[in-house]
Amino acid sequence: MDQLLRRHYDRIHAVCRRITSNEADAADAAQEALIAVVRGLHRFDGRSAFGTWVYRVATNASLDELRRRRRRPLASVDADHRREHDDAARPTEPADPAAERPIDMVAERMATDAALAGLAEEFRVPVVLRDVADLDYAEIAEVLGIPIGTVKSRIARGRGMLAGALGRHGNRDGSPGRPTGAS
Amino acid sequence: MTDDLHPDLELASRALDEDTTVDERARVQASPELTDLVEALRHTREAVAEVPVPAASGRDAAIAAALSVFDELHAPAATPAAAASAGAPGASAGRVVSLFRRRAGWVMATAAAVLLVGVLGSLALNGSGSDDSTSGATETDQEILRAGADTAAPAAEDAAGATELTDAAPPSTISSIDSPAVAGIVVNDPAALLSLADELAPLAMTSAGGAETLPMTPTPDASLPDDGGVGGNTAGTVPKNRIDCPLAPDQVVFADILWQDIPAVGVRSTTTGVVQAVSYDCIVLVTVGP
Repeated sequence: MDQLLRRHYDRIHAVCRRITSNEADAADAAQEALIAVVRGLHRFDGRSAFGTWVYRVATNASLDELRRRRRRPLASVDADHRREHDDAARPTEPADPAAERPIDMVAERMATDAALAGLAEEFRVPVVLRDVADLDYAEIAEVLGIPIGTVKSRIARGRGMLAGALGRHGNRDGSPGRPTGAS
Repeated sequence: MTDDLHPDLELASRALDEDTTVDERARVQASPELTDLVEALRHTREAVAEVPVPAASGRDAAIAAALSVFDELHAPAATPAAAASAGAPGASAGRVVSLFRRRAGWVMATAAAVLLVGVLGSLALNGSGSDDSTSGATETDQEILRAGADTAAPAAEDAAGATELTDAAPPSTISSIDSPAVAGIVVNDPAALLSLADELAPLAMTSAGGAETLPMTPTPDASLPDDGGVGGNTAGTVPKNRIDCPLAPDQVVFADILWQDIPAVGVRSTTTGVVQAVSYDCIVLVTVGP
Protein backbone atom coordinates (compact mmCIF):
# COMPACT_ATOMS: atom_id res chain seq x y z
CA MET A 1 0.00 0.00 0.00
CA ASP A 2 2.80 2.35 0.90
CA GLN A 3 4.41 1.64 -2.46
CA LEU A 4 1.17 2.22 -4.29
CA LEU A 5 0.58 5.55 -2.58
CA ARG A 6 4.15 6.70 -3.08
CA ARG A 7 3.99 5.81 -6.75
CA HIS A 8 1.05 8.10 -7.31
CA TYR A 9 1.53 10.85 -4.74
CA ASP A 10 3.59 13.29 -6.75
CA ARG A 11 1.23 13.23 -9.71
CA ILE A 12 -1.78 13.48 -7.41
CA HIS A 13 -0.17 16.47 -5.75
CA ALA A 14 0.58 18.02 -9.14
CA VAL A 15 -3.05 17.68 -10.21
CA CYS A 16 -4.23 19.14 -6.91
CA ARG A 17 -1.67 21.92 -7.14
CA ARG A 18 -2.79 22.97 -10.58
CA ILE A 19 -6.50 22.72 -9.85
CA THR A 20 -6.32 24.60 -6.55
CA SER A 21 -3.53 26.98 -7.67
CA ASN A 22 -2.40 27.05 -4.08
CA GLU A 23 0.28 24.99 -2.35
CA ALA A 24 -1.42 24.73 1.03
CA ASP A 25 -4.74 23.74 -0.48
CA ALA A 26 -2.96 21.31 -2.78
CA ALA A 27 -1.26 19.63 0.17
CA ASP A 28 -4.59 19.25 1.92
CA ALA A 29 -6.35 18.07 -1.22
CA ALA A 30 -3.61 15.56 -2.02
CA GLN A 31 -3.85 14.15 1.48
CA GLU A 32 -7.61 13.96 1.27
CA ALA A 33 -7.24 12.25 -2.09
CA LEU A 34 -4.89 9.62 -0.69
CA ILE A 35 -7.28 8.93 2.14
CA ALA A 36 -10.18 8.74 -0.29
CA VAL A 37 -8.19 6.29 -2.40
CA VAL A 38 -7.59 4.12 0.64
CA ARG A 39 -11.24 4.31 1.66
CA GLY A 40 -12.50 3.65 -1.84
CA LEU A 41 -10.15 0.89 -2.94
CA HIS A 42 -12.89 -1.69 -2.59
CA ARG A 43 -14.94 0.23 -5.14
CA PHE A 44 -12.20 0.19 -7.75
CA ASP A 45 -13.11 -2.66 -10.07
CA GLY A 46 -10.18 -2.53 -12.47
CA ARG A 47 -12.30 -1.62 -15.47
CA SER A 48 -10.50 1.67 -15.86
CA ALA A 49 -6.83 2.29 -15.35
CA PHE A 50 -5.90 2.69 -11.71
CA GLY A 51 -4.30 6.02 -12.50
CA THR A 52 -7.48 7.31 -14.12
CA TRP A 53 -9.47 6.41 -11.06
CA VAL A 54 -6.88 7.99 -8.79
CA TYR A 55 -6.95 11.24 -10.76
CA ARG A 56 -10.71 11.31 -10.56
CA VAL A 57 -10.39 11.07 -6.80
CA ALA A 58 -7.72 13.77 -6.80
CA THR A 59 -9.85 16.02 -8.97
CA ASN A 60 -12.83 15.66 -6.66
CA ALA A 61 -10.65 16.29 -3.62
CA SER A 62 -9.29 19.43 -5.24
CA LEU A 63 -12.72 20.73 -6.15
CA ASP A 64 -13.91 20.00 -2.62
CA GLU A 65 -10.94 21.93 -1.29
CA LEU A 66 -11.79 24.85 -3.56
CA ARG A 67 -15.36 24.82 -2.29
CA ARG A 68 -14.07 24.84 1.27
CA ARG A 69 -11.78 27.71 0.41
CA ARG A 70 -14.67 29.73 -0.95
CA ARG A 71 -16.48 29.28 2.34
CA ARG A 72 -13.54 30.56 4.34
CA PRO A 73 -13.53 34.17 5.49
CA LEU A 74 -11.92 36.48 2.98
CA ALA A 75 -9.11 37.35 5.38
CA SER A 76 -8.14 33.71 5.50
CA VAL A 77 -8.02 33.50 1.72
CA ASP A 78 -5.87 36.59 1.60
CA ALA A 79 -3.58 35.08 4.18
CA ASP A 80 -3.32 31.94 2.09
CA HIS A 81 -2.38 33.96 -0.96
CA ARG A 82 0.20 35.90 0.97
CA ARG A 83 1.67 32.70 2.31
CA GLU A 84 1.64 31.21 -1.16
CA HIS A 85 3.52 34.14 -2.59
CA ASP A 86 5.91 34.10 0.33
CA ASP A 87 6.53 30.42 -0.25
CA ALA A 88 7.14 30.97 -3.94
CA ALA A 89 9.70 33.66 -3.28
CA ARG A 90 11.39 32.00 -0.33
CA PRO A 91 14.75 30.49 -1.33
CA THR A 92 14.85 27.86 1.42
CA GLU A 93 12.21 25.39 0.26
CA PRO A 94 14.36 22.26 0.16
CA ALA A 95 12.27 20.03 -2.09
CA ASP A 96 11.61 22.56 -4.80
CA PRO A 97 14.36 22.75 -7.37
CA ALA A 98 12.80 25.89 -8.79
CA ALA A 99 13.64 27.67 -5.57
CA GLU A 100 17.22 28.00 -6.71
CA ARG A 101 16.35 29.31 -10.14
CA PRO A 102 16.49 32.92 -11.12
CA ILE A 103 13.73 35.15 -9.96
CA ASP A 104 12.16 35.28 -13.41
CA MET A 105 11.48 31.57 -13.20
CA VAL A 106 9.63 32.14 -9.96
CA ALA A 107 7.77 34.99 -11.58
CA GLU A 108 6.83 32.80 -14.50
CA ARG A 109 5.52 30.15 -12.16
CA MET A 110 3.49 32.75 -10.30
CA ALA A 111 2.14 33.99 -13.62
CA THR A 112 1.14 30.45 -14.53
CA ASP A 113 -0.54 30.05 -11.14
CA ALA A 114 -2.41 33.30 -11.64
CA ALA A 115 -3.45 32.38 -15.16
CA LEU A 116 -4.73 29.02 -14.03
CA ALA A 117 -6.50 30.55 -11.07
CA GLY A 118 -8.23 32.95 -13.43
CA LEU A 119 -9.49 30.13 -15.59
CA ALA A 120 -12.98 28.82 -14.93
CA GLU A 121 -13.04 25.36 -13.38
CA GLU A 122 -14.77 23.86 -16.40
CA PHE A 123 -11.73 24.71 -18.50
CA ARG A 124 -9.02 24.45 -15.86
CA VAL A 125 -9.78 20.91 -14.77
CA PRO A 126 -9.68 19.26 -18.21
CA VAL A 127 -6.51 21.16 -19.09
CA VAL A 128 -4.86 19.97 -15.89
CA LEU A 129 -5.98 16.39 -16.42
CA ARG A 130 -4.56 16.49 -19.93
CA ASP A 131 -1.36 18.43 -19.40
CA VAL A 132 -0.44 17.45 -15.86
CA ALA A 133 -2.03 14.04 -15.33
CA ASP A 134 -1.42 13.11 -18.98
CA LEU A 135 -4.81 11.48 -19.34
CA ASP A 136 -6.16 11.07 -22.84
CA TYR A 137 -9.41 12.58 -24.00
CA ALA A 138 -11.44 9.46 -23.32
CA GLU A 139 -10.09 9.15 -19.80
CA ILE A 140 -10.81 12.79 -19.08
CA ALA A 141 -14.33 12.34 -20.42
CA GLU A 142 -14.73 9.40 -18.08
CA VAL A 143 -13.39 11.29 -15.09
CA LEU A 144 -15.52 14.36 -15.69
CA GLY A 145 -18.58 12.59 -17.05
CA ILE A 146 -18.77 14.70 -20.18
CA PRO A 147 -18.56 13.83 -23.90
CA ILE A 148 -15.17 13.57 -25.55
CA GLY A 149 -16.05 16.38 -27.94
CA THR A 150 -16.70 18.66 -25.00
CA VAL A 151 -13.39 17.63 -23.48
CA LYS A 152 -11.55 18.56 -26.65
CA SER A 153 -13.21 21.93 -26.97
CA ARG A 154 -12.77 22.79 -23.29
CA ILE A 155 -9.11 21.86 -23.40
CA ALA A 156 -8.61 23.91 -26.55
CA ARG A 157 -10.40 26.89 -25.13
CA GLY A 158 -8.68 26.57 -21.78
CA ARG A 159 -5.28 26.42 -23.42
CA GLY A 160 -6.16 29.38 -25.58
CA MET A 161 -7.17 31.47 -22.60
CA LEU A 162 -4.04 30.44 -20.71
CA ALA A 163 -1.86 31.34 -23.67
CA GLY A 164 -3.54 34.72 -23.83
CA ALA A 165 -3.11 35.31 -20.12
CA LEU A 166 0.55 34.33 -20.31
CA GLY A 167 1.17 36.73 -23.16
CA ARG A 168 1.50 34.10 -25.81
CA HIS A 169 -0.99 33.41 -28.56
CA GLY A 170 -4.65 33.60 -27.88
CA ASN A 171 -7.07 36.01 -26.43
CA ARG A 172 -8.85 35.79 -23.13
CA ASP A 173 -11.95 34.60 -24.87
CA GLY A 174 -10.17 31.61 -26.23
CA SER A 175 -9.83 32.76 -29.81
CA PRO A 176 -6.40 32.19 -31.23
CA GLY A 177 -5.49 35.77 -32.02
CA ARG A 178 -2.67 36.78 -34.28
CA PRO A 179 0.77 35.32 -33.97
CA THR A 180 3.08 37.51 -31.97
CA GLY A 181 6.25 35.55 -32.26
CA ALA A 182 6.39 35.36 -28.50
CA SER A 183 6.95 31.97 -26.97
CA MET B 1 -20.69 27.71 -24.50
CA THR B 2 -18.18 26.39 -26.96
CA ASP B 3 -20.12 27.44 -30.03
CA ASP B 4 -17.94 30.52 -30.48
CA LEU B 5 -14.76 28.51 -30.23
CA HIS B 6 -12.47 29.32 -33.09
CA PRO B 7 -12.04 26.15 -35.10
CA ASP B 8 -8.34 26.73 -35.56
CA LEU B 9 -7.78 26.79 -31.82
CA GLU B 10 -9.29 23.37 -31.33
CA LEU B 11 -7.40 22.07 -34.34
CA ALA B 12 -4.15 23.44 -32.94
CA SER B 13 -4.92 21.98 -29.54
CA ARG B 14 -5.67 18.58 -31.01
CA ALA B 15 -2.53 18.83 -33.13
CA LEU B 16 -0.59 19.38 -29.93
CA ASP B 17 -2.13 16.20 -28.58
CA GLU B 18 -1.49 14.38 -31.85
CA ASP B 19 -5.19 13.82 -32.28
CA THR B 20 -5.55 14.92 -35.87
CA THR B 21 -6.29 13.20 -39.13
CA VAL B 22 -3.71 13.09 -41.87
CA ASP B 23 -5.49 15.92 -43.68
CA GLU B 24 -5.69 18.04 -40.54
CA ARG B 25 -2.04 17.47 -39.79
CA ALA B 26 -1.12 18.49 -43.30
CA ARG B 27 -3.24 21.60 -42.94
CA VAL B 28 -1.48 22.58 -39.74
CA GLN B 29 1.95 21.98 -41.22
CA ALA B 30 1.08 24.02 -44.28
CA SER B 31 0.03 27.03 -42.26
CA PRO B 32 2.73 29.05 -40.49
CA GLU B 33 0.02 30.70 -38.42
CA LEU B 34 -1.33 27.38 -37.21
CA THR B 35 2.16 26.07 -36.61
CA ASP B 36 2.93 29.10 -34.49
CA LEU B 37 -0.30 28.61 -32.60
CA VAL B 38 0.56 24.98 -31.88
CA GLU B 39 3.97 26.06 -30.61
CA ALA B 40 2.41 28.70 -28.40
CA LEU B 41 0.05 26.13 -26.93
CA ARG B 42 2.99 23.81 -26.45
CA HIS B 43 4.83 26.41 -24.39
CA THR B 44 1.68 26.99 -22.39
CA ARG B 45 1.32 23.28 -21.78
CA GLU B 46 4.90 23.08 -20.59
CA ALA B 47 4.32 25.90 -18.16
CA VAL B 48 1.22 24.21 -16.79
CA ALA B 49 2.96 20.85 -16.54
CA GLU B 50 5.89 22.28 -14.62
CA VAL B 51 4.52 21.83 -11.15
CA PRO B 52 6.60 22.54 -8.07
CA VAL B 53 7.82 19.31 -6.50
CA PRO B 54 6.03 18.66 -3.22
CA ALA B 55 8.09 18.78 -0.08
CA ALA B 56 9.14 15.34 1.13
CA SER B 57 7.72 16.03 4.56
CA GLY B 58 4.31 16.75 3.08
CA ARG B 59 4.44 13.62 0.96
CA ASP B 60 5.42 11.44 3.90
CA ALA B 61 2.80 12.98 6.12
CA ALA B 62 0.03 12.47 3.58
CA ILE B 63 1.05 8.87 2.99
CA ALA B 64 1.30 8.25 6.71
CA ALA B 65 -2.18 9.67 7.18
CA ALA B 66 -3.59 7.47 4.44
CA LEU B 67 -1.83 4.41 5.80
CA SER B 68 -3.20 5.16 9.23
CA VAL B 69 -6.70 5.30 7.83
CA PHE B 70 -6.07 2.10 5.90
CA ASP B 71 -4.79 0.43 9.03
CA GLU B 72 -7.69 1.68 11.07
CA LEU B 73 -10.19 0.56 8.46
CA HIS B 74 -8.82 -2.91 8.09
CA ALA B 75 -7.10 -3.90 11.31
CA PRO B 76 -9.46 -4.87 14.15
CA ALA B 77 -6.86 -4.07 16.77
CA ALA B 78 -4.86 -0.96 16.22
CA THR B 79 -1.14 -1.45 15.93
CA PRO B 80 1.15 0.78 17.95
CA ALA B 81 2.03 2.64 14.76
CA ALA B 82 -1.60 3.17 13.90
CA ALA B 83 -2.36 4.37 17.39
CA ALA B 84 0.52 6.78 17.24
CA SER B 85 -0.61 8.02 13.86
CA ALA B 86 -4.16 8.48 15.03
CA GLY B 87 -2.98 10.52 17.96
CA ALA B 88 -4.98 8.48 20.41
CA PRO B 89 -6.19 4.91 20.62
CA GLY B 90 -9.57 4.47 19.06
CA ALA B 91 -9.57 7.80 17.34
CA SER B 92 -12.00 7.93 14.45
CA ALA B 93 -10.79 8.05 10.87
CA GLY B 94 -12.12 11.55 10.58
CA ARG B 95 -10.07 12.58 13.53
CA VAL B 96 -7.02 11.07 11.99
CA VAL B 97 -7.55 13.25 8.99
CA SER B 98 -7.89 16.38 11.02
CA LEU B 99 -4.85 15.57 13.07
CA PHE B 100 -2.77 15.28 9.95
CA ARG B 101 -3.74 18.64 8.59
CA ARG B 102 -0.97 21.08 8.01
CA ARG B 103 -1.55 22.78 11.34
CA ALA B 104 -0.25 19.71 13.16
CA GLY B 105 3.00 19.21 11.35
CA TRP B 106 4.79 17.63 14.26
CA VAL B 107 2.21 14.88 14.43
CA MET B 108 2.71 14.22 10.73
CA ALA B 109 6.45 14.00 11.08
CA THR B 110 6.25 11.65 14.05
CA ALA B 111 3.74 9.33 12.40
CA ALA B 112 5.66 9.34 9.15
CA ALA B 113 8.85 8.45 10.95
CA VAL B 114 7.21 5.57 12.82
CA LEU B 115 5.67 4.15 9.67
CA LEU B 116 8.74 4.67 7.57
CA VAL B 117 10.86 2.82 10.13
CA GLY B 118 8.39 -0.03 9.95
CA VAL B 119 8.31 -0.14 6.18
CA LEU B 120 12.05 0.20 5.78
CA GLY B 121 12.65 -2.40 8.45
CA SER B 122 10.35 -4.80 6.71
CA LEU B 123 11.93 -4.17 3.35
CA ALA B 124 15.36 -4.77 4.80
CA LEU B 125 14.24 -8.03 6.37
CA ASN B 126 12.54 -9.16 3.20
CA GLY B 127 15.61 -8.29 1.21
CA SER B 128 17.69 -10.53 3.43
CA GLY B 129 15.38 -13.43 2.73
CA SER B 130 14.39 -13.83 6.36
CA ASP B 131 11.15 -15.74 6.67
CA ASP B 132 10.98 -16.07 10.40
CA SER B 133 11.34 -12.55 11.59
CA THR B 134 8.81 -11.50 14.17
CA SER B 135 9.95 -7.96 14.69
CA GLY B 136 7.36 -5.33 15.34
CA ALA B 137 8.32 -3.42 12.25
CA THR B 138 7.71 -6.41 10.02
CA GLU B 139 4.38 -7.13 11.65
CA THR B 140 3.26 -3.59 11.08
CA ASP B 141 4.19 -3.68 7.42
CA GLN B 142 2.54 -7.02 6.86
CA GLU B 143 -0.60 -5.87 8.59
CA ILE B 144 -0.74 -2.99 6.16
CA LEU B 145 -0.18 -5.30 3.21
CA ARG B 146 -2.61 -7.94 4.31
CA ALA B 147 -5.31 -5.72 5.68
CA GLY B 148 -6.73 -5.12 2.22
CA ALA B 149 -7.99 -8.67 2.18
CA ASP B 150 -10.39 -7.98 4.98
CA THR B 151 -13.14 -6.61 2.80
CA ALA B 152 -15.72 -7.44 5.43
CA ALA B 153 -14.10 -5.13 7.91
CA PRO B 154 -15.22 -1.69 8.78
CA ALA B 155 -16.76 0.49 6.15
CA ALA B 156 -20.49 0.42 6.35
CA GLU B 157 -20.89 0.50 2.60
CA ASP B 158 -18.76 -2.62 2.41
CA ALA B 159 -21.06 -4.68 4.51
CA ALA B 160 -23.50 -5.80 1.84
CA GLY B 161 -20.91 -6.71 -0.73
CA ALA B 162 -18.69 -8.45 1.75
CA THR B 163 -21.60 -10.48 3.03
CA GLU B 164 -22.50 -11.46 -0.48
CA LEU B 165 -19.00 -12.64 -1.08
CA THR B 166 -18.92 -14.57 2.16
CA ASP B 167 -22.32 -16.14 1.69
CA ALA B 168 -21.89 -17.14 -1.91
CA ALA B 169 -19.25 -19.72 -1.19
CA PRO B 170 -16.27 -20.02 1.06
CA PRO B 171 -13.93 -17.80 -0.88
CA SER B 172 -10.66 -19.20 -1.96
CA THR B 173 -7.69 -17.27 -0.81
CA ILE B 174 -4.20 -16.49 -1.82
CA SER B 175 -2.75 -17.64 1.43
CA SER B 176 -0.30 -15.86 3.61
CA ILE B 177 3.35 -16.43 3.78
CA ASP B 178 5.86 -14.74 5.99
CA SER B 179 7.99 -13.08 3.38
CA PRO B 180 6.27 -11.27 0.55
CA ALA B 181 9.49 -10.82 -1.33
CA VAL B 182 9.07 -9.33 -4.75
CA ALA B 183 9.83 -11.76 -7.56
CA GLY B 184 7.45 -11.54 -10.44
CA ILE B 185 7.15 -11.42 -14.16
CA VAL B 186 7.18 -7.86 -15.40
CA VAL B 187 3.90 -7.07 -17.11
CA ASN B 188 3.03 -3.55 -18.11
CA ASP B 189 0.08 -3.73 -20.43
CA PRO B 190 -3.21 -5.63 -20.62
CA ALA B 191 -2.30 -7.48 -23.79
CA ALA B 192 0.85 -8.84 -22.20
CA LEU B 193 -1.11 -9.91 -19.13
CA LEU B 194 -3.62 -11.75 -21.27
CA SER B 195 -0.85 -13.36 -23.24
CA LEU B 196 0.84 -14.48 -20.04
CA ALA B 197 -2.43 -15.92 -18.79
CA ASP B 198 -2.93 -17.76 -22.06
CA GLU B 199 0.55 -19.17 -21.73
CA LEU B 200 0.46 -20.16 -18.09
CA ALA B 201 -3.21 -20.80 -17.52
CA PRO B 202 -4.94 -21.50 -20.82
CA LEU B 203 -8.66 -21.94 -20.40
CA ALA B 204 -8.55 -25.44 -21.81
CA MET B 205 -6.21 -26.51 -19.05
CA THR B 206 -7.99 -24.92 -16.14
CA SER B 207 -10.64 -26.75 -14.26
CA ALA B 208 -14.14 -25.40 -13.90
CA GLY B 209 -14.08 -26.50 -10.28
CA GLY B 210 -11.90 -23.57 -9.45
CA ALA B 211 -12.10 -23.72 -5.71
CA GLU B 212 -10.56 -27.13 -5.63
CA THR B 213 -7.72 -26.12 -7.88
CA LEU B 214 -6.59 -23.25 -5.75
CA PRO B 215 -3.61 -23.48 -3.46
CA MET B 216 -5.40 -23.47 -0.15
CA THR B 217 -2.29 -24.61 1.66
CA PRO B 218 0.56 -23.03 -0.15
CA THR B 219 4.06 -24.28 -0.26
CA PRO B 220 6.32 -21.37 0.52
CA ASP B 221 9.01 -22.68 -1.74
CA ALA B 222 6.72 -23.38 -4.65
CA SER B 223 8.26 -22.02 -7.80
CA LEU B 224 6.91 -20.72 -11.02
CA PRO B 225 7.23 -23.29 -13.75
CA ASP B 226 9.99 -22.37 -16.10
CA ASP B 227 8.56 -24.19 -19.06
CA GLY B 228 5.33 -22.29 -19.35
CA GLY B 229 3.43 -25.32 -18.24
CA VAL B 230 0.67 -25.25 -15.72
CA GLY B 231 2.19 -26.92 -12.76
CA GLY B 232 1.91 -26.08 -9.10
CA ASN B 233 -1.74 -26.33 -8.30
CA THR B 234 -3.92 -28.57 -10.33
CA ALA B 235 -4.79 -25.94 -12.87
CA GLY B 236 -2.49 -22.96 -13.00
CA THR B 237 0.88 -22.12 -11.64
CA VAL B 238 1.38 -21.59 -7.97
CA PRO B 239 2.76 -18.18 -7.17
CA LYS B 240 5.75 -18.06 -4.94
CA ASN B 241 4.42 -15.28 -2.84
CA ARG B 242 0.90 -15.08 -1.63
CA ILE B 243 -1.09 -13.08 0.79
CA ASP B 244 -4.69 -13.35 1.88
CA CYS B 245 -7.08 -12.27 -0.82
CA PRO B 246 -10.63 -13.45 -1.33
CA LEU B 247 -11.13 -15.05 -4.70
CA ALA B 248 -14.21 -16.28 -6.48
CA PRO B 249 -14.45 -20.05 -6.66
CA ASP B 250 -13.73 -20.03 -10.39
CA GLN B 251 -10.57 -17.96 -10.13
CA VAL B 252 -7.08 -19.39 -10.31
CA VAL B 253 -3.80 -17.67 -9.64
CA PHE B 254 -1.36 -18.28 -12.43
CA ALA B 255 1.71 -16.16 -11.71
CA ASP B 256 3.50 -13.66 -9.57
CA ILE B 257 3.84 -10.52 -11.60
CA LEU B 258 5.00 -6.95 -11.40
CA TRP B 259 2.15 -4.97 -12.87
CA GLN B 260 3.52 -1.57 -13.75
CA ASP B 261 6.05 -1.94 -10.93
CA ILE B 262 3.45 -3.05 -8.41
CA PRO B 263 3.92 -6.55 -6.98
CA ALA B 264 0.82 -8.54 -7.82
CA VAL B 265 -0.52 -11.90 -8.88
CA GLY B 266 -2.21 -12.79 -12.12
CA VAL B 267 -5.66 -14.28 -11.62
CA ARG B 268 -7.87 -15.87 -14.25
CA SER B 269 -11.51 -16.85 -14.14
CA THR B 270 -11.90 -20.38 -15.41
CA THR B 271 -15.46 -19.69 -16.49
CA THR B 272 -15.20 -16.32 -18.23
CA GLY B 273 -11.51 -16.26 -19.00
CA VAL B 274 -11.25 -12.78 -17.57
CA VAL B 275 -7.75 -12.04 -16.33
CA GLN B 276 -6.89 -9.67 -13.53
CA ALA B 277 -3.77 -8.33 -11.90
CA VAL B 278 -4.37 -8.26 -8.16
CA SER B 279 -1.93 -6.51 -5.88
CA TYR B 280 -0.71 -8.10 -2.66
CA ASP B 281 -3.12 -5.91 -0.78
CA CYS B 282 -5.95 -7.23 -2.90
CA ILE B 283 -6.48 -4.30 -5.20
CA VAL B 284 -7.62 -5.24 -8.66
CA LEU B 285 -5.14 -3.27 -10.71
CA VAL B 286 -6.51 -4.18 -14.10
CA THR B 287 -9.14 -6.42 -15.64
CA VAL B 288 -8.66 -7.85 -19.11
CA GLY B 289 -11.24 -9.72 -21.13
CA PRO B 290 -10.46 -13.03 -22.76
